[in-house]
Amino acid sequence: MLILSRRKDETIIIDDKIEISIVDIKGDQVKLGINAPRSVKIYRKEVYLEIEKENAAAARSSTDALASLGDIFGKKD
Amino acid sequence: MDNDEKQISIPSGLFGFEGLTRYALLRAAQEPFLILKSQEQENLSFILIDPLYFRSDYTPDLSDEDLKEIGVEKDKYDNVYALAIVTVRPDEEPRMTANLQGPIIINGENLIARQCITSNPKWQTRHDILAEIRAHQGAESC
Repeated sequence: MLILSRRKDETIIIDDKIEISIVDIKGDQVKLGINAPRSVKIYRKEVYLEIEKENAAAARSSTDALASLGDIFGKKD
Repeated sequence: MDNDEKQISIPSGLFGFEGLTRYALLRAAQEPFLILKSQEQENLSFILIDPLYFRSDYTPDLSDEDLKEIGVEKDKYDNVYALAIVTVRPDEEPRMTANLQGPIIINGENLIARQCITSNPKWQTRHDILAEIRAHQGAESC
């Protein structure tokens, strides 16, 4: 992993088009400002991990579990 | 979509299941659910639901990259469907939740799909389906 030291208001540029600035530093919290083309997807890593975890839980719900819930919605025309 | 089993291709796979790209989409015995069944790994299937069934206000924001991967041109959404993965936890409340943060988006023309991530914080990974139906019915009767 590349590690760079930056101070408040300093920026790094990735691949000529993604700019990440240190907007503010308070205690152990760092506020980042990101300038990137719309096509670049930016998420907190927790979001990825959360969806991965939910997919794994969903894969464990068997279709039998669905049957065990019974006819919860009633009949739909 | 009609009753037939459809062969769906998910080129990027689902999060955590990246290597698996070929699925069959079929109706579950229980309305209104669908089953997404892996064609490559035995006993791997997901329960899906149309989010509009319990959240008529559901509109996931899709990125250009999402649309490009499933071959949809910008602003041509007529044949694009969003489906949510359902998790059933028999011993836990809520027993049945839907993931509206990571919907599966399907292009009905070519049956190519992708699991997207919505950036709207309103959509979470665990929506209590029954509670939301009740809340919605309550709102309607007011």
